[in-house]
Amino acid sequence: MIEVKSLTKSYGNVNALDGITFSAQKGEILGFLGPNGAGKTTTMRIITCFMPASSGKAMVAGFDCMEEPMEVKRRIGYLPESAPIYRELKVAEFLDFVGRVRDLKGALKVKKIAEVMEQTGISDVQAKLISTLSKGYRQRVGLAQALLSEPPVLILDEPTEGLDPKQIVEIREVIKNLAVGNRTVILSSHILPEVSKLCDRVVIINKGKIVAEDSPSNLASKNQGNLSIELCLQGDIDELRNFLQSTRGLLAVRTVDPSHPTEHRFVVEVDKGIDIRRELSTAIVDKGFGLLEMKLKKLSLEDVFVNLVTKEKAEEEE
Amino acid sequence: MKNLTPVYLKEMRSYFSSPIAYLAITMFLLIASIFFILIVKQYSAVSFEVIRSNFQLKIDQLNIGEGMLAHLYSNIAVIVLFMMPALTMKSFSDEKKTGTIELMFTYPIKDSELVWGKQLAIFTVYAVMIACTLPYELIILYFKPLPLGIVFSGYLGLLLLGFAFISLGLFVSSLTENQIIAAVGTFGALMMFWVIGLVAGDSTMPIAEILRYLSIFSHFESFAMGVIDTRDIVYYLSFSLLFIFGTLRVLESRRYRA
Ligand SMILES: Nc1ncnc2c1ncn2[C@@H]1O[C@H](COP(=O)(O)OP(=O)(O)OP(=O)(O)O)[C@@H](O)[C@H]1O
Ligand SMILES: [Mg+2]
Repeated sequence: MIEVKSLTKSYGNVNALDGITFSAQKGEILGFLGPNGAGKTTTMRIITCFMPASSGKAMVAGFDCMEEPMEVKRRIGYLPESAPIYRELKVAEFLDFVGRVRDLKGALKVKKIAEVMEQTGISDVQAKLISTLSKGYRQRVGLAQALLSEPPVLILDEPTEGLDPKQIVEIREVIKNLAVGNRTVILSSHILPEVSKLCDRVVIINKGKIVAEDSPSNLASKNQGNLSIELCLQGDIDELRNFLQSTRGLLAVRTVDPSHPTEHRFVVEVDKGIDIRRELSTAIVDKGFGLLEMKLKKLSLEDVFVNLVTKEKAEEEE
Repeated sequence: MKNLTPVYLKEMRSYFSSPIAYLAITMFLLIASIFFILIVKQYSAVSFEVIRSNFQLKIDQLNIGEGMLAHLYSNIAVIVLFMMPALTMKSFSDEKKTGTIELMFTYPIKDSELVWGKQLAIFTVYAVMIACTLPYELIILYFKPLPLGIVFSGYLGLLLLGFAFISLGLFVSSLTENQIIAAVGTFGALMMFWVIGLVAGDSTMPIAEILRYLSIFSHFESFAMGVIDTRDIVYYLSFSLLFIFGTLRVLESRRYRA
Protein backbone atom coordinates (compact mmCIF):
# COMPACT_ATOMS: atom_id res chain seq x y z
CA MET A 1 0.00 0.00 0.00
CA ILE A 2 2.82 2.36 0.89
CA GLU A 3 6.24 2.00 -0.68
CA VAL A 4 9.10 4.25 0.30
CA LYS A 5 12.44 3.90 -1.47
CA SER A 6 15.75 5.51 -0.49
CA LEU A 7 14.15 8.75 0.52
CA THR A 8 16.44 11.64 1.36
CA LYS A 9 15.58 15.16 2.42
CA SER A 10 17.89 18.01 3.25
CA TYR A 11 16.97 21.41 4.62
CA GLY A 12 19.89 23.57 3.53
CA ASN A 13 22.81 21.64 4.93
CA VAL A 14 20.80 19.65 7.48
CA ASN A 15 20.22 16.10 6.28
CA ALA A 16 16.88 15.27 7.83
CA LEU A 17 16.44 11.98 5.95
CA ASP A 18 19.28 9.84 4.74
CA GLY A 19 18.00 7.00 2.60
CA ILE A 20 14.80 5.69 4.19
CA THR A 21 13.30 2.54 2.69
CA PHE A 22 10.28 0.69 4.04
CA SER A 23 6.83 -0.47 3.05
CA ALA A 24 3.47 -0.93 4.72
CA GLN A 25 0.89 -3.48 3.68
CA LYS A 26 -2.89 -3.38 3.64
CA GLY A 27 -4.47 -3.92 7.04
CA GLU A 28 -1.27 -3.09 8.86
CA ILE A 29 -0.52 -0.59 11.63
CA LEU A 30 3.05 0.59 11.26
CA GLY A 31 4.70 2.48 14.09
CA PHE A 32 7.40 5.12 13.63
CA LEU A 33 9.63 5.38 16.61
CA GLY A 34 12.55 7.70 17.08
CA PRO A 35 14.00 10.45 19.25
CA ASN A 36 13.27 14.14 18.60
CA GLY A 37 14.56 15.28 15.23
CA ALA A 38 14.86 11.72 13.90
CA GLY A 39 12.89 12.53 10.76
CA LYS A 40 9.48 11.02 11.51
CA THR A 41 7.50 14.14 10.66
CA THR A 42 9.63 14.77 7.58
CA THR A 43 8.93 11.27 6.25
CA MET A 44 5.19 11.67 6.83
CA ARG A 45 5.16 15.06 5.12
CA ILE A 46 6.72 13.53 2.04
CA ILE A 47 4.25 10.63 1.91
CA THR A 48 1.30 13.04 2.27
CA CYS A 49 2.64 15.22 -0.59
CA PHE A 50 3.09 18.23 1.66
CA MET A 51 6.65 18.56 0.44
CA PRO A 52 8.91 16.79 -2.02
CA ALA A 53 11.85 14.61 -1.09
CA SER A 54 15.33 15.65 -2.19
CA SER A 55 15.69 12.27 -3.81
CA GLY A 56 14.07 8.86 -3.66
CA LYS A 57 10.53 7.77 -4.21
CA ALA A 58 7.32 7.43 -2.25
CA MET A 59 4.30 5.54 -3.57
CA VAL A 60 0.82 5.28 -2.09
CA ALA A 61 -1.61 2.74 -3.54
CA GLY A 62 0.48 2.57 -6.69
CA PHE A 63 0.57 6.35 -7.23
CA ASP A 64 3.81 8.29 -7.08
CA CYS A 65 3.69 11.21 -4.61
CA MET A 66 5.63 13.43 -7.02
CA GLU A 67 3.84 12.46 -10.22
CA GLU A 68 0.22 12.12 -9.15
CA PRO A 69 -0.21 13.99 -5.87
CA MET A 70 -4.00 14.41 -6.29
CA GLU A 71 -4.57 10.66 -6.46
CA VAL A 72 -2.38 10.19 -3.40
CA LYS A 73 -4.10 12.96 -1.43
CA ARG A 74 -7.53 11.51 -2.15
CA ARG A 75 -6.47 8.27 -0.45
CA ILE A 76 -4.80 9.65 2.66
CA GLY A 77 -6.24 10.92 5.91
CA TYR A 78 -3.55 12.93 7.65
CA LEU A 79 -3.22 14.23 11.18
CA PRO A 80 -0.27 16.65 11.13
CA GLU A 81 1.95 17.07 14.15
CA SER A 82 0.23 19.09 16.91
CA ALA A 83 -3.04 19.05 14.96
CA PRO A 84 -3.26 22.46 13.28
CA ILE A 85 -6.90 23.38 12.66
CA TYR A 86 -8.93 26.52 11.94
CA ARG A 87 -9.41 28.16 15.29
CA GLU A 88 -12.01 30.64 14.07
CA LEU A 89 -14.43 27.92 12.92
CA LYS A 90 -16.83 25.83 14.94
CA VAL A 91 -16.12 22.09 15.16
CA ALA A 92 -19.14 21.18 13.01
CA GLU A 93 -18.35 23.90 10.46
CA PHE A 94 -14.80 22.67 10.13
CA LEU A 95 -15.86 19.05 9.64
CA ASP A 96 -18.46 20.21 7.13
CA PHE A 97 -15.67 21.89 5.15
CA VAL A 98 -13.54 18.74 5.28
CA GLY A 99 -16.55 16.65 4.18
CA ARG A 100 -17.10 18.87 1.13
CA VAL A 101 -13.43 18.82 0.19
CA ARG A 102 -13.52 15.04 0.55
CA ASP A 103 -16.43 14.75 -1.89
CA LEU A 104 -19.09 13.82 0.67
CA LYS A 105 -22.53 15.21 -0.07
CA GLY A 106 -25.93 15.72 1.50
CA ALA A 107 -27.25 13.11 3.91
CA LEU A 108 -24.16 10.94 3.62
CA LYS A 109 -21.97 13.84 4.69
CA VAL A 110 -24.19 14.58 7.68
CA LYS A 111 -24.17 10.91 8.68
CA LYS A 112 -20.40 10.54 8.36
CA ILE A 113 -19.75 13.70 10.36
CA ALA A 114 -22.03 12.46 13.15
CA GLU A 115 -20.31 9.08 13.13
CA VAL A 116 -16.79 10.45 13.29
CA MET A 117 -17.71 12.87 16.07
CA GLU A 118 -19.16 9.97 18.02
CA GLN A 119 -16.05 7.88 17.37
CA THR A 120 -13.64 10.55 18.58
CA GLY A 121 -15.89 11.75 21.39
CA ILE A 122 -16.43 15.33 20.24
CA SER A 123 -20.20 15.34 19.70
CA ASP A 124 -20.65 17.46 22.83
CA VAL A 125 -18.42 20.25 21.58
CA GLN A 126 -19.59 20.39 17.97
CA ALA A 127 -21.14 23.86 18.34
CA LYS A 128 -18.06 25.32 20.01
CA LEU A 129 -15.42 27.46 18.40
CA ILE A 130 -12.26 25.40 17.96
CA SER A 131 -10.23 28.19 19.59
CA THR A 132 -12.11 27.59 22.85
CA LEU A 133 -11.33 23.86 22.99
CA SER A 134 -8.65 22.34 25.19
CA LYS A 135 -5.57 20.90 23.51
CA GLY A 136 -6.78 17.33 23.94
CA TYR A 137 -10.08 18.14 22.27
CA ARG A 138 -8.34 19.94 19.43
CA GLN A 139 -6.26 16.81 18.94
CA ARG A 140 -9.49 14.81 18.71
CA VAL A 141 -10.91 17.18 16.12
CA GLY A 142 -7.67 16.71 14.20
CA LEU A 143 -8.16 12.96 14.34
CA ALA A 144 -11.80 13.34 13.31
CA GLN A 145 -10.90 15.30 10.13
CA ALA A 146 -8.41 12.59 9.17
CA LEU A 147 -10.94 9.78 9.65
CA LEU A 148 -13.95 11.52 8.10
CA SER A 149 -13.83 10.17 4.57
CA GLU A 150 -12.69 6.69 5.68
CA PRO A 151 -9.53 6.85 3.56
CA PRO A 152 -7.62 3.63 2.87
CA VAL A 153 -4.43 5.15 4.29
CA LEU A 154 -4.12 7.01 7.57
CA ILE A 155 -1.02 8.92 8.58
CA LEU A 156 -1.07 10.09 12.18
CA ASP A 157 1.79 12.17 13.56
CA GLU A 158 1.85 11.68 17.32
CA PRO A 159 -1.90 11.10 17.64
CA THR A 160 -1.99 10.81 21.43
CA GLU A 161 0.15 13.83 22.18
CA GLY A 162 -1.45 16.23 24.62
CA LEU A 163 -4.13 13.84 25.80
CA ASP A 164 -4.75 12.86 29.41
CA PRO A 165 -4.24 9.20 30.40
CA LYS A 166 -7.92 8.36 30.14
CA GLN A 167 -8.22 9.95 26.70
CA ILE A 168 -5.05 8.19 25.58
CA VAL A 169 -6.66 4.83 26.31
CA GLU A 170 -9.83 5.86 24.43
CA ILE A 171 -7.99 7.17 21.39
CA ARG A 172 -5.73 4.11 21.26
CA GLU A 173 -8.86 2.00 21.18
CA VAL A 174 -10.12 4.10 18.26
CA ILE A 175 -6.83 3.69 16.40
CA LYS A 176 -6.72 -0.02 17.07
CA ASN A 177 -10.13 -0.42 15.46
CA LEU A 178 -9.03 1.57 12.42
CA ALA A 179 -6.93 -1.11 10.83
CA VAL A 180 -9.93 -3.16 9.89
CA GLY A 181 -10.15 -4.55 6.40
CA ASN A 182 -7.72 -3.08 3.93
CA ARG A 183 -6.74 0.05 5.76
CA THR A 184 -3.13 0.97 6.35
CA VAL A 185 -2.17 3.12 9.32
CA ILE A 186 1.18 4.76 9.97
CA LEU A 187 1.60 6.48 13.30
CA SER A 188 4.56 8.09 15.00
CA SER A 189 5.16 8.22 18.68
CA HIS A 190 7.73 8.69 21.40
CA ILE A 191 5.83 6.41 23.70
CA LEU A 192 7.15 2.86 23.48
CA PRO A 193 4.35 0.98 25.23
CA GLU A 194 1.93 2.71 22.89
CA VAL A 195 3.76 1.52 19.81
CA SER A 196 4.22 -2.00 21.12
CA LYS A 197 0.54 -2.24 22.00
CA LEU A 198 -0.88 -0.73 18.84
CA CYS A 199 1.42 -1.63 16.02
CA ASP A 200 1.96 -4.78 14.01
CA ARG A 201 5.35 -3.53 12.94
CA VAL A 202 7.77 -0.93 14.22
CA VAL A 203 10.27 1.13 12.27
CA ILE A 204 12.88 2.71 14.48
CA ILE A 205 14.41 5.84 12.96
CA ASN A 206 17.41 7.73 14.21
CA LYS A 207 19.07 10.72 12.53
CA GLY A 208 17.28 10.10 9.26
CA LYS A 209 18.18 6.42 9.07
CA ILE A 210 16.22 3.28 9.81
CA VAL A 211 18.04 1.41 12.55
CA ALA A 212 15.58 -1.44 13.01
CA GLU A 213 12.36 -2.73 11.53
CA ASP A 214 10.32 -5.63 12.86
CA SER A 215 7.30 -6.59 14.93
CA PRO A 216 7.45 -5.32 18.52
CA SER A 217 7.72 -8.84 19.93
CA ASN A 218 10.43 -9.84 17.46
CA LEU A 219 12.41 -6.72 18.20
CA ALA A 220 12.37 -7.54 21.86
CA SER A 221 13.02 -11.26 21.38
CA LYS A 222 15.88 -10.77 18.93
CA ASN A 223 17.63 -9.40 21.90
CA GLN A 224 16.23 -12.10 24.16
CA GLY A 225 19.57 -13.85 23.75
CA ASN A 226 20.85 -11.09 25.97
CA LEU A 227 19.93 -10.04 29.45
CA SER A 228 20.82 -6.81 31.05
CA ILE A 229 22.13 -6.08 34.51
CA GLU A 230 21.61 -2.74 36.12
CA LEU A 231 24.44 -1.68 38.39
CA CYS A 232 24.85 1.13 40.84
CA LEU A 233 28.55 1.64 41.57
CA GLN A 234 30.71 4.02 43.53
CA GLY A 235 34.00 5.39 42.22
CA ASP A 236 35.46 7.55 39.49
CA ILE A 237 33.17 7.43 36.50
CA ASP A 238 35.85 7.08 33.85
CA GLU A 239 37.67 4.37 35.75
CA LEU A 240 34.39 2.55 36.24
CA ARG A 241 33.55 2.73 32.59
CA ASN A 242 36.99 1.55 31.53
CA PHE A 243 36.79 -1.30 33.99
CA LEU A 244 33.36 -2.43 32.77
CA GLN A 245 34.31 -2.14 29.15
CA SER A 246 37.38 -4.30 29.67
CA THR A 247 35.57 -6.96 31.67
CA ARG A 248 34.98 -10.12 29.70
CA GLY A 249 31.42 -11.31 29.18
CA LEU A 250 29.90 -7.84 29.08
CA LEU A 251 28.52 -7.16 25.62
CA ALA A 252 27.46 -3.54 25.91
CA VAL A 253 27.88 -0.90 28.55
CA ARG A 254 25.61 2.07 28.93
CA THR A 255 25.74 4.89 31.46
CA VAL A 256 22.43 5.91 32.99
CA ASP A 257 21.80 9.35 34.41
CA PRO A 258 25.33 10.49 35.25
CA SER A 259 24.06 13.33 37.45
CA HIS A 260 24.96 11.92 40.85
CA PRO A 261 28.52 12.91 41.84
CA THR A 262 29.68 9.62 43.36
CA GLU A 263 27.07 6.98 42.60
CA HIS A 264 26.94 5.89 38.98
CA ARG A 265 24.36 3.74 37.27
CA PHE A 266 25.21 1.47 34.40
CA VAL A 267 23.26 -0.98 32.34
CA VAL A 268 25.35 -3.80 30.95
CA GLU A 269 24.22 -6.46 28.56
CA VAL A 270 25.25 -10.04 29.13
CA ASP A 271 24.76 -13.29 27.31
CA LYS A 272 21.75 -15.19 28.54
CA GLY A 273 23.63 -18.51 28.74
CA ILE A 274 26.10 -17.54 31.44
CA ASP A 275 25.25 -16.01 34.76
CA ILE A 276 28.26 -13.82 35.50
CA ARG A 277 26.78 -11.93 38.44
CA ARG A 278 28.99 -13.66 40.96
CA GLU A 279 32.25 -13.06 39.06
CA LEU A 280 31.23 -9.53 38.22
CA SER A 281 30.50 -8.59 41.82
CA THR A 282 33.78 -10.11 43.00
CA ALA A 283 35.68 -8.27 40.29
CA ILE A 284 34.08 -4.96 41.18
CA VAL A 285 34.86 -5.30 44.85
CA ASP A 286 38.39 -6.55 44.17
CA LYS A 287 39.08 -3.40 42.16
CA GLY A 288 38.10 -1.33 45.16
CA PHE A 289 34.85 0.10 43.76
CA GLY A 290 31.70 0.22 45.84
CA LEU A 291 28.90 -2.11 44.71
CA LEU A 292 25.65 -0.54 45.86
CA GLU A 293 23.07 -2.31 43.70
CA MET A 294 22.85 -5.08 41.17
CA LYS A 295 19.66 -6.05 39.37
CA LEU A 296 19.00 -8.54 36.60
CA LYS A 297 16.37 -7.65 34.05
CA LYS A 298 15.02 -8.69 30.70
CA LEU A 299 15.31 -6.32 27.77
CA SER A 300 12.14 -4.38 27.06
CA LEU A 301 11.38 -2.70 23.76
CA GLU A 302 12.55 0.44 25.46
CA ASP A 303 16.01 -1.02 26.02
CA VAL A 304 16.11 -2.17 22.43
CA PHE A 305 15.23 1.32 21.31
CA VAL A 306 17.76 3.04 23.54
CA ASN A 307 20.41 0.49 22.60
CA LEU A 308 19.86 0.90 18.90
CA VAL A 309 19.89 4.65 19.12
CA THR A 310 22.95 4.88 21.36
CA LYS A 311 24.84 2.20 19.48
CA GLU A 312 24.47 4.33 16.38
CA LYS A 313 25.90 7.27 18.25
CA ALA A 314 28.88 5.30 19.55
CA GLU A 315 29.72 4.06 16.05
CA GLU A 316 29.58 7.57 14.75
CA GLU A 317 32.02 8.81 17.36
CA GLU A 318 34.58 6.16 16.56
CA MET B 1 -12.83 23.73 -9.84
CA LYS B 2 -15.01 21.39 -7.79
CA ASN B 3 -13.40 22.36 -4.49
CA LEU B 4 -13.63 26.08 -5.13
CA THR B 5 -16.97 26.36 -3.34
CA PRO B 6 -15.88 24.64 -0.09
CA VAL B 7 -12.74 26.79 0.09
CA TYR B 8 -14.79 29.92 -0.64
CA LEU B 9 -17.38 29.08 2.02
CA LYS B 10 -14.72 28.27 4.58
CA GLU B 11 -12.99 31.59 3.93
CA MET B 12 -16.27 33.47 4.22
CA ARG B 13 -17.02 31.80 7.55
CA SER B 14 -13.54 32.66 8.78
CA TYR B 15 -13.96 36.32 7.80
CA PHE B 16 -17.31 36.78 9.40
CA SER B 17 -16.52 34.87 12.59
CA SER B 18 -13.47 36.99 13.33
CA PRO B 19 -13.69 40.72 14.06
CA ILE B 20 -11.41 41.74 11.20
CA ALA B 21 -14.12 42.03 8.52
CA TYR B 22 -16.51 43.96 10.79
CA LEU B 23 -13.73 46.21 12.01
CA ALA B 24 -12.47 46.98 8.51
CA ILE B 25 -16.00 47.70 7.21
CA THR B 26 -16.81 49.94 10.19
CA MET B 27 -13.59 51.93 9.90
CA PHE B 28 -14.05 52.22 6.17
CA LEU B 29 -17.62 53.53 6.50
CA LEU B 30 -16.62 55.96 9.21
CA ILE B 31 -13.90 57.54 7.12
CA ALA B 32 -15.92 57.40 3.90
CA SER B 33 -18.82 59.15 5.66
CA ILE B 34 -16.55 61.95 6.83
CA PHE B 35 -15.42 62.47 3.25
CA PHE B 36 -19.03 62.37 2.04
CA ILE B 37 -19.99 65.10 4.53
CA LEU B 38 -17.02 67.22 3.41
CA ILE B 39 -18.01 66.78 -0.22
CA VAL B 40 -21.60 67.79 0.51
CA LYS B 41 -20.38 70.87 2.40
CA GLN B 42 -18.11 71.82 -0.47
CA TYR B 43 -20.97 71.37 -2.92
CA SER B 44 -23.32 73.61 -0.92
CA ALA B 45 -20.60 76.25 -0.61
CA VAL B 46 -20.22 76.25 -4.36
CA SER B 47 -24.01 76.46 -4.73
CA PHE B 48 -24.08 79.64 -2.62
CA GLU B 49 -21.35 81.21 -4.70
CA VAL B 50 -23.27 80.41 -7.84
CA ILE B 51 -26.42 82.01 -6.43
CA ARG B 52 -24.50 85.08 -5.23
CA SER B 53 -23.01 85.53 -8.70
CA ASN B 54 -26.50 85.42 -10.23
CA PHE B 55 -25.71 82.14 -11.95
CA GLN B 56 -22.73 83.65 -13.79
CA LEU B 57 -19.82 81.77 -12.15
CA LYS B 58 -18.92 78.13 -11.56
CA ILE B 59 -22.24 76.95 -12.87
CA ASP B 60 -20.64 73.82 -14.37
CA GLN B 61 -19.56 72.69 -10.89
CA LEU B 62 -23.19 72.30 -9.89
CA ASN B 63 -23.34 69.16 -11.95
CA ILE B 64 -24.02 66.32 -9.47
CA GLY B 65 -21.77 63.90 -11.34
CA GLU B 66 -18.63 65.99 -11.51
CA GLY B 67 -19.39 68.15 -8.49
CA MET B 68 -20.05 65.31 -6.06
CA LEU B 69 -19.90 61.73 -7.30
CA ALA B 70 -16.51 61.93 -9.01
CA HIS B 71 -14.99 63.31 -5.79
CA LEU B 72 -16.79 60.73 -3.73
CA TYR B 73 -15.59 57.76 -5.76
CA SER B 74 -12.00 59.02 -5.96
CA ASN B 75 -11.92 59.45 -2.21
CA ILE B 76 -13.41 56.00 -1.61
CA ALA B 77 -10.76 54.50 -3.89
CA VAL B 78 -8.03 56.04 -1.75
CA ILE B 79 -9.62 54.80 1.49
CA VAL B 80 -9.81 51.33 -0.07
CA LEU B 81 -6.06 51.47 -0.61
CA PHE B 82 -5.58 52.03 3.10
CA MET B 83 -8.06 49.36 4.23
CA MET B 84 -7.28 46.56 1.79
CA PRO B 85 -4.09 45.27 3.49
CA ALA B 86 -6.18 44.56 6.60
CA LEU B 87 -8.45 42.29 4.56
CA THR B 88 -5.76 40.40 2.68
CA MET B 89 -2.93 40.11 5.20
CA LYS B 90 -4.07 36.96 6.92
CA SER B 91 -5.10 34.89 3.90
CA PHE B 92 -1.94 32.84 3.42
CA SER B 93 0.28 34.18 6.20
CA ASP B 94 -2.03 33.01 8.97
CA GLU B 95 -2.37 29.54 7.47
CA LYS B 96 1.40 29.25 7.31
CA LYS B 97 1.84 30.46 10.85
CA THR B 98 -0.79 28.22 12.44
CA GLY B 99 0.16 25.26 10.23
CA THR B 100 -3.31 24.83 8.72
CA ILE B 101 -1.62 25.22 5.32
CA GLU B 102 -0.42 21.66 5.92
CA LEU B 103 -4.08 20.56 5.84
CA MET B 104 -4.84 22.63 2.75
CA PHE B 105 -1.86 21.23 0.90
CA THR B 106 -2.66 17.63 1.82
CA TYR B 107 -6.40 17.75 1.04
CA PRO B 108 -7.26 17.06 -2.59
CA ILE B 109 -7.51 20.78 -3.35
CA LYS B 110 -5.85 22.31 -6.41
CA ASP B 111 -3.71 25.39 -5.95
CA SER B 112 -6.00 27.28 -8.30
CA GLU B 113 -9.05 26.36 -6.21
CA LEU B 114 -7.28 27.59 -3.11
CA VAL B 115 -6.19 30.91 -4.63
CA TRP B 116 -9.50 31.65 -6.38
CA GLY B 117 -11.48 30.62 -3.31
CA LYS B 118 -9.56 33.12 -1.23
CA GLN B 119 -9.64 35.84 -3.89
CA LEU B 120 -13.40 35.56 -4.34
CA ALA B 121 -14.09 35.41 -0.60
CA ILE B 122 -12.15 38.62 0.06
CA PHE B 123 -13.82 40.15 -2.98
CA THR B 124 -17.22 39.34 -1.50
CA VAL B 125 -16.29 40.98 1.79
CA TYR B 126 -15.04 43.95 -0.19
CA ALA B 127 -18.22 44.12 -2.27
CA VAL B 128 -20.28 44.17 0.94
CA MET B 129 -18.08 47.00 2.20
CA ILE B 130 -18.52 49.00 -1.00
CA ALA B 131 -22.26 48.31 -1.04
CA CYS B 132 -22.47 49.95 2.39
CA THR B 133 -21.77 53.30 0.69
CA LEU B 134 -24.92 53.12 -1.46
CA PRO B 135 -26.92 55.14 1.10
CA TYR B 136 -24.84 58.20 0.08
CA GLU B 137 -26.39 58.04 -3.37
CA LEU B 138 -29.82 57.61 -1.81
CA ILE B 139 -29.26 60.77 0.24
CA ILE B 140 -28.33 62.67 -2.92
CA LEU B 141 -31.29 61.17 -4.75
CA TYR B 142 -33.60 62.61 -2.09
CA PHE B 143 -32.62 66.12 -3.20
CA LYS B 144 -31.71 65.78 -6.85
CA PRO B 145 -32.07 63.32 -9.72
CA LEU B 146 -29.09 60.98 -9.86
CA PRO B 147 -26.95 60.50 -13.00
CA LEU B 148 -27.17 56.71 -12.97
CA GLY B 149 -24.46 56.29 -15.60
CA ILE B 150 -21.83 57.76 -13.30
CA VAL B 151 -23.08 55.73 -10.35
CA PHE B 152 -22.79 52.56 -12.41
CA SER B 153 -19.35 53.29 -13.83
CA GLY B 154 -18.10 54.49 -10.43
CA TYR B 155 -19.04 51.26 -8.69
CA LEU B 156 -17.80 49.15 -11.59
CA GLY B 157 -14.47 50.94 -11.32
CA LEU B 158 -14.35 50.44 -7.55
CA LEU B 159 -15.03 46.71 -7.93
CA LEU B 160 -12.32 46.32 -10.59
CA LEU B 161 -9.85 48.36 -8.55
CA GLY B 162 -10.64 46.32 -5.44
CA PHE B 163 -10.23 43.03 -7.30
CA ALA B 164 -6.78 44.17 -8.42
CA PHE B 165 -5.78 45.30 -4.90
CA ILE B 166 -6.90 41.93 -3.49
CA SER B 167 -4.81 39.95 -5.96
CA LEU B 168 -1.75 41.95 -4.98
CA GLY B 169 -2.51 41.50 -1.26
CA LEU B 170 -2.90 37.74 -1.69
CA PHE B 171 0.39 37.57 -3.55
CA VAL B 172 2.29 39.38 -0.80
CA SER B 173 0.57 37.25 1.85
CA SER B 174 1.70 34.07 0.09
CA LEU B 175 5.31 35.18 0.51
CA THR B 176 5.44 35.44 4.30
CA GLU B 177 4.05 33.83 7.40
CA ASN B 178 4.06 37.15 9.21
CA GLN B 179 0.76 39.05 8.90
CA ILE B 180 2.34 42.39 9.78
CA ILE B 181 4.90 42.01 7.02
CA ALA B 182 2.11 40.99 4.64
CA ALA B 183 0.09 44.10 5.53
CA VAL B 184 3.01 46.53 5.34
CA GLY B 185 4.27 44.94 2.13
CA THR B 186 0.86 45.17 0.47
CA PHE B 187 0.39 48.75 1.61
CA GLY B 188 3.85 49.72 0.37
CA ALA B 189 3.32 48.09 -3.01
CA LEU B 190 -0.08 49.76 -3.48
CA MET B 191 1.42 53.13 -2.52
CA MET B 192 4.14 52.61 -5.12
CA PHE B 193 1.54 52.00 -7.80
CA TRP B 194 -0.15 55.25 -6.71
CA VAL B 195 2.95 57.40 -6.32
CA ILE B 196 4.38 56.61 -9.76
CA GLY B 197 1.30 58.32 -11.19
CA LEU B 198 1.95 61.45 -9.13
CA VAL B 199 5.61 61.42 -10.17
CA ALA B 200 4.64 61.27 -13.83
CA GLY B 201 2.30 64.25 -13.38
CA ASP B 202 1.37 65.84 -16.72
CA SER B 203 4.80 65.37 -18.24
CA THR B 204 4.87 64.22 -21.85
CA MET B 205 8.15 62.32 -21.61
CA PRO B 206 7.85 58.66 -22.73
CA ILE B 207 8.83 57.40 -19.27
CA ALA B 208 6.06 59.51 -17.76
CA GLU B 209 3.59 57.96 -20.17
CA ILE B 210 4.61 54.51 -19.01
CA LEU B 211 4.43 55.43 -15.34
CA ARG B 212 1.03 56.97 -15.87
CA TYR B 213 -0.12 53.83 -17.59
CA LEU B 214 1.11 51.65 -14.72
CA SER B 215 -0.37 53.89 -12.05
CA ILE B 216 -3.30 52.27 -10.34
CA PHE B 217 -5.41 55.40 -9.86
CA SER B 218 -4.92 56.98 -13.26
CA HIS B 219 -7.17 54.25 -14.65
CA PHE B 220 -9.82 55.01 -12.11
CA GLU B 221 -10.31 58.68 -13.07
CA SER B 222 -12.42 57.98 -16.11
CA PHE B 223 -14.63 55.51 -14.20
CA ALA B 224 -15.24 58.23 -11.60
CA MET B 225 -16.25 60.65 -14.38
CA GLY B 226 -18.71 58.16 -15.83
CA VAL B 227 -16.59 56.96 -18.72
CA ILE B 228 -16.12 53.23 -19.14
CA ASP B 229 -13.01 52.68 -21.22
CA THR B 230 -12.03 49.13 -22.21
CA ARG B 231 -8.35 50.05 -21.80
CA ASP B 232 -8.94 50.68 -18.10
CA ILE B 233 -10.87 47.44 -17.70
CA VAL B 234 -8.06 45.59 -19.45
CA TYR B 235 -5.54 47.27 -17.14
CA TYR B 236 -7.26 46.15 -13.93
CA LEU B 237 -7.94 42.65 -15.18
CA SER B 238 -4.39 42.09 -16.39
CA PHE B 239 -3.04 43.56 -13.14
CA SER B 240 -5.19 41.03 -11.22
CA LEU B 241 -4.32 38.06 -13.39
CA LEU B 242 -0.63 38.86 -13.19
CA PHE B 243 -0.64 38.70 -9.39
CA ILE B 244 -2.93 35.67 -9.23
CA PHE B 245 -0.50 33.96 -11.58
CA GLY B 246 2.34 35.04 -9.29
CA THR B 247 0.59 33.59 -6.25
CA LEU B 248 0.08 30.29 -8.07
CA ARG B 249 3.79 30.22 -8.92
CA VAL B 250 4.71 30.86 -5.28
CA LEU B 251 2.49 27.97 -4.15
CA GLU B 252 3.88 25.74 -6.85
CA SER B 253 7.48 26.45 -5.84
CA ARG B 254 7.05 24.28 -2.74
CA ARG B 255 6.94 21.27 -5.04
CA TYR B 256 10.42 21.81 -6.42
CA ARG B 257 12.83 19.20 -5.12
CA ALA B 258 15.38 20.78 -2.83
N1 LIG C 1 11.43 23.43 8.03
C1 LIG C 1 12.63 22.98 8.45
N2 LIG C 1 13.75 23.69 8.20
C2 LIG C 1 14.95 23.24 8.60
N3 LIG C 1 15.15 22.09 9.26
C3 LIG C 1 14.09 21.33 9.54
C4 LIG C 1 12.76 21.73 9.15
N4 LIG C 1 11.90 20.79 9.56
C5 LIG C 1 12.63 19.83 10.17
N5 LIG C 1 13.95 20.15 10.17
C6 LIG C 1 15.05 19.33 10.72
O1 LIG C 1 14.93 18.03 10.19
C7 LIG C 1 15.21 17.06 11.18
C8 LIG C 1 14.07 16.07 11.30
O2 LIG C 1 12.94 16.74 11.80
P1 LIG C 1 11.53 16.02 12.03
O3 LIG C 1 10.55 17.10 12.36
O4 LIG C 1 11.23 15.16 10.88
O5 LIG C 1 11.81 15.14 13.31
P2 LIG C 1 10.79 14.26 14.16
O6 LIG C 1 11.31 12.87 14.13
O7 LIG C 1 9.41 14.46 13.71
O8 LIG C 1 11.02 14.86 15.62
P3 LIG C 1 9.97 15.07 16.81
O9 LIG C 1 9.93 13.78 17.55
O10 LIG C 1 10.63 16.13 17.62
O11 LIG C 1 8.67 15.49 16.24
C9 LIG C 1 15.52 17.83 12.45
O12 LIG C 1 16.92 17.90 12.58
C10 LIG C 1 14.94 19.19 12.21
O13 LIG C 1 15.69 20.17 12.87
MG1 LIG D 1 7.74 15.17 14.57
